[in-house]
Amino acid sequence: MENHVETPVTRKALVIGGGVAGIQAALDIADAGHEVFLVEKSPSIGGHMIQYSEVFPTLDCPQCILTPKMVEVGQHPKIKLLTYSEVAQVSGQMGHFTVRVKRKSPYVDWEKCTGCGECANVCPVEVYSEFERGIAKQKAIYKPFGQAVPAVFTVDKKGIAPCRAACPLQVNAQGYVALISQGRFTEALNLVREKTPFPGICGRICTHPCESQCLRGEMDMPLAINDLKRFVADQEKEPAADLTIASEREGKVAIIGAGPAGLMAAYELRKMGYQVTIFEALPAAGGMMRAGIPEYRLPRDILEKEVSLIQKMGVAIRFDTTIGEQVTLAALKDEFNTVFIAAGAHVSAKLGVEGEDLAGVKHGIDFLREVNLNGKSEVGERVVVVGGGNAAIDAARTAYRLGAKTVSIVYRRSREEMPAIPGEVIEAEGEGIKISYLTDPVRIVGENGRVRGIECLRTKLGPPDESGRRRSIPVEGSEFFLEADMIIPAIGQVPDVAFLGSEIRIGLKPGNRLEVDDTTLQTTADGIFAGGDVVTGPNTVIDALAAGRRAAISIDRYLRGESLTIDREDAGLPVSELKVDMAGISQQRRTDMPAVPPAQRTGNFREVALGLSEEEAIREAGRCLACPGCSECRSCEKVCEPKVIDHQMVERYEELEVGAIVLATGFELIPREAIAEFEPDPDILEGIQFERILCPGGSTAGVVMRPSDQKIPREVVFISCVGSRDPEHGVPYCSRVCCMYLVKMAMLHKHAVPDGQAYIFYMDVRSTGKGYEEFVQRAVEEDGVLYLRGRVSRVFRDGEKLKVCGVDTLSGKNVDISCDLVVLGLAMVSDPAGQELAQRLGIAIDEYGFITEVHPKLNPLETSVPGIYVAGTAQGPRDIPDSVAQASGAASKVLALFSTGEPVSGGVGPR
Amino acid sequence: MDLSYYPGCTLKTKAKGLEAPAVAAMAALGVNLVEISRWNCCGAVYSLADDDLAHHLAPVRNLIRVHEQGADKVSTLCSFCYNTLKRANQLVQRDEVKRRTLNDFMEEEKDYQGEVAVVHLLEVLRDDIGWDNISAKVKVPLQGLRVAPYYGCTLLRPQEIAIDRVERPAILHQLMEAIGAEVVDFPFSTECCGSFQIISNPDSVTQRAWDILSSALKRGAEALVLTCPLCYFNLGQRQAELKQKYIDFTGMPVFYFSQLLALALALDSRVCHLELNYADPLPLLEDKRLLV
Amino acid sequence: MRIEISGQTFQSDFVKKVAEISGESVLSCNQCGKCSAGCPMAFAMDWLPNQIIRLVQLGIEEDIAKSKTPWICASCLTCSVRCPRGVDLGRLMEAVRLLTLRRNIDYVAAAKIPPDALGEMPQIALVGGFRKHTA
Repeated sequence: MENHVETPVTRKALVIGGGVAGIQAALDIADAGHEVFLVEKSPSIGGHMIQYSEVFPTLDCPQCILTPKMVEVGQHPKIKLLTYSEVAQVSGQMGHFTVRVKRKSPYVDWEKCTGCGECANVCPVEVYSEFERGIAKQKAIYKPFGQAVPAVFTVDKKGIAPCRAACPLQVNAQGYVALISQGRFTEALNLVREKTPFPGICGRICTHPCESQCLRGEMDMPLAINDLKRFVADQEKEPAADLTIASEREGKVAIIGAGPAGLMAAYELRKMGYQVTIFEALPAAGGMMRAGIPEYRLPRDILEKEVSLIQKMGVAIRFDTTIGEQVTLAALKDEFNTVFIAAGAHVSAKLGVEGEDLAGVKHGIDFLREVNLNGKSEVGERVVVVGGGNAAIDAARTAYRLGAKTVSIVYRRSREEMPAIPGEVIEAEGEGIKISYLTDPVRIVGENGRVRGIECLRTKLGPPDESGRRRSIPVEGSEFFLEADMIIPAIGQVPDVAFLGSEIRIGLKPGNRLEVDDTTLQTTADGIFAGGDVVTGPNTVIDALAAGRRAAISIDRYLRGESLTIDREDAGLPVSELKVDMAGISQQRRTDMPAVPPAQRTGNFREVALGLSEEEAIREAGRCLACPGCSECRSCEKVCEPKVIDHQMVERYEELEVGAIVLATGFELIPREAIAEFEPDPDILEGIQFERILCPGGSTAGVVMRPSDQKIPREVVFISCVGSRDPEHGVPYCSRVCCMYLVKMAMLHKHAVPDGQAYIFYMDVRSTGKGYEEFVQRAVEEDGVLYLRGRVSRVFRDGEKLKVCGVDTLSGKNVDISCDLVVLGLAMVSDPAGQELAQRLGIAIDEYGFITEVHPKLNPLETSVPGIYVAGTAQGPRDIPDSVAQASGAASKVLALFSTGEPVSGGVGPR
Repeated sequence: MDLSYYPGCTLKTKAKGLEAPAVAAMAALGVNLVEISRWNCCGAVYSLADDDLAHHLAPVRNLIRVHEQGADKVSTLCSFCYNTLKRANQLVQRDEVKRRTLNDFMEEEKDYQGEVAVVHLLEVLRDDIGWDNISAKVKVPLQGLRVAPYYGCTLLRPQEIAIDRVERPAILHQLMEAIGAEVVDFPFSTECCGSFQIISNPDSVTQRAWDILSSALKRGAEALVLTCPLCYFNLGQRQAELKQKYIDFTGMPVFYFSQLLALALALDSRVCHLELNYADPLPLLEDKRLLV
Repeated sequence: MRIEISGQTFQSDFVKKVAEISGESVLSCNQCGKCSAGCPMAFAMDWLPNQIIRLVQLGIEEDIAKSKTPWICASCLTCSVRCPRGVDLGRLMEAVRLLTLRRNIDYVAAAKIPPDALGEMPQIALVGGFRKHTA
């Protein structure tokens, strides 16, 4: 086949893969004077070889022999190193390839990074280390290993943590949890404060949607994120919130209601520099947080401390001022530039049954408001609360504290449908409050105008209604009577909209709720915004806070005359698909806060939940799986002197023109799960993991310790052919290097643990390289390595030891060994990324993903695509000298092409 | 829901403690087990000889019964019956020549092409009812009962009939978790108890029983839970001998999964036939307050 | 004791019959021994399971005929599911047993088992045991 081209070949080469083969090929081509691009997917070159402790049969240290070559690559004027990059596309043909390379974002400007490592010192997040193969962790901003080339830092960031994305306020839960795990409480609190000025309040009463999304929940229990937030808030004795106001601005804002929505809007607007006045009907601030939520859940000093910050910023609150009475909405609209209505929902819904007006009937929110503002209220001896929401539970527990002898709750659906916070329900039960589910009140029975009891019906559950909860259906003839002298109906609240007046028309929705635009929160009246319960009906504090911020953003835009909708700052965070490998993580109980014993809760309103201790908080925070890697707490930014960290950096693409390509994409180990009869256990290691433990420069500084308990493993069993020569469970081929690397590790173990004993289960010893057989003999004769001829059927934990059940077919005996550590000689398989790349490039691969050479005997360096050559384990299992020799061979193919200046045809057979 | 059900000989005689609570528990979970009529012995062990078709007639005949009674799925409870019926069914489905010979041999029957699916009741619990639904119906969670799931052989091997992963299966673990027990994983949970060797080599079975029971004890189990009447016999009946041989061994209750399921659903404990258990489970159950 | 092998020994009728009845290829076995290593009944055997295959591979019929191993095998199939080469050793053991049983030689006599013990055993044990161990 003739192959003519018009133009001479591009005398530049691309080498893909920065392991020892790729390094050798790049250096050979560059030394011949041609430009080389070396693309590597991880942040540093070095490949697997740099992970090893020592290499057979010379026992050279790879750090000593490979590092000089790596440095040479880094400094070579003809080599352009593109690490943390992937080849996305190749077009053209031999002599003229165009290559599109994806440069992944390291979130660090590598040109300017000095590699000082200050960032990693302060990074609170620890993640899986690919280099250490899980034996040790690394920081979320990391340099893979000491001798890395280039010697720069990379941020491991896979997305946004689900906890943070789930928060309506986008509080960086992962970030503050990580900081708490390091004992850095002030920094943690500051991070919370970036998104909410109310950490102490939120840490107590937030319904924590973050925890429902926590990935840890998939393996045991979600992190106690909310309790941790409360913990850091409580650590602060004197509030040190940053109350700086941006320069004062024109614009006066009236806010109706000093509840969570109103306070949050006031905080945000005041920070921007606007003049804010809040009108509050009650004599104190807090809204439902004050009038509805009892003190034993939210102590008043905490509430006051955080609310007063808003006043300290210069927000005026006019108490005891009811709109529609002292001042009208229309008047506000005239005096202020905009109005934000956050009046809440403070009117109790009525049961609508006979007897609801009898003496002794007090509606839930009225009862709570009275107790919460005055500290007391009359209660009966036998109290029945009707309802299943938080107000019902709060009312019941409050009645208990005020001295009621018996308190019970009737709820018409079952526990599953109950909207109250489950933890609160459990606490209520602990206080002796009896809850009757599937019970619906029919009428309140009185005597002489006073309550005598309540008649109820049993119900059963039908199909779900529009709220998604199952409908309750009365059971005929199931009436029964509950004696009571006080009935508290607490079945919900609705907004009171009488204050709106008639001058300004504002659209309403069913349930007296104000109609607003979902994005901007503007009502049907221009310049009047609304949010919180007055819009949604009874809802959570966190949603009200989020509404306050949303309104503040709209109001700012409104006052500046900008679009209310385009590019809003409160667009939600993207939800990232994150997966965590839970295999190596052991279950760990969630740390519960201690609580005041139920017997000590009557007659007082002491806070029930007592908070975590410092030790508990640190332990609990340590349960975080750091699922996206970096938390974006931005601690690193603060210490980086050259200011090179950029958390917004995005990936980019580069185009290269080359004449030839060398594929050196390397290998991986077969997943251990393929051989399922070996129990997952921290002390059953894959070969590369044990290399890291043996390595003098590794995390254990060369002290050989086993992962489970850091004890020195004396008896170590090495198992050959795990997944290889096993077509039924793994791959049929021989993995070629395992015989040698296992005996090498057995020898190194003996050198490190002189009184130790190594055993190797083997099928055949394949020691075919120069000096290899002698090496094996030395291990047997000098280091006492015991070879046992046969496979192992299973390995399981037996107390402190691992039990290995194998066979020695030479003696015809089954052999059991109780040992401290097991090392698996897992089969080499093709690197999944390399395999995928080969497929994308249209290069022929075999059924195991290894690159198929043009001729197995006489043309081992050329792939099925002319101009693309292969080197190293991308072609099949082989050891280091073979890989290096092949790399030089591939380089010479490239050089031959470059020196003739015109493409030579590929083909089978020698030329 | 009605579900066709093949009991097999052992369940009607020695293994009432497996069948009765299973039928009752399934009813409580809304599944009515409908015993197929005119069933015969399944043959107990699946013939492993390539040239032996005669021994497959018995299980295939049972499948023909299921088919002619209008069901497309039959559930089994005995592990041996499951294995034999499932394997015979796969043979019919996969080997056309043998299928023809078998059908020719049974002239009096309608031809059978493998139309029926064979499942084990544990699969029904997992796949049709679901662990969450079972949990929701539990009235007496088996809290604090440290129980080691033991699978035996015939639900898992060979690979093509396995009701779960062959190595480190989870289905019994999951059921035990669903009914609130504390699951103790132990390394011998899929190792053979010695099976039919109880006939010819009973001493070997005693040794197997000890290996299995002592391994579960070492991991802190208070009881075994299993599915197979033969495992139940070998691991229960041998305990008398083991107690004499090993002075520290005081016995270990062995439950059928159906017994624990029925107890957790608060069914009348008489349905469990706990009096038939070789190692008396009552002290343990009373200690954990699991009998209502 | 030395044995003499030749093409005749390992292509004997016996070897062929084992292959035919079991439907397994004995040559697929590369003697890794994993079957033996995991065999729960191996403690009671005179030859390990992998050795039985080896004897079949070599055609040494006498030793197999004398061996207890195939009769100790409980057909638990642990060997079959873990065999790297996909050899179903359970079927080979069955074939070896059948070559004896088909000559009307029982391994176990029902009459010798105490009636009490028989009465107590579940049916699957009786049917299974007698099917595996009697003609």
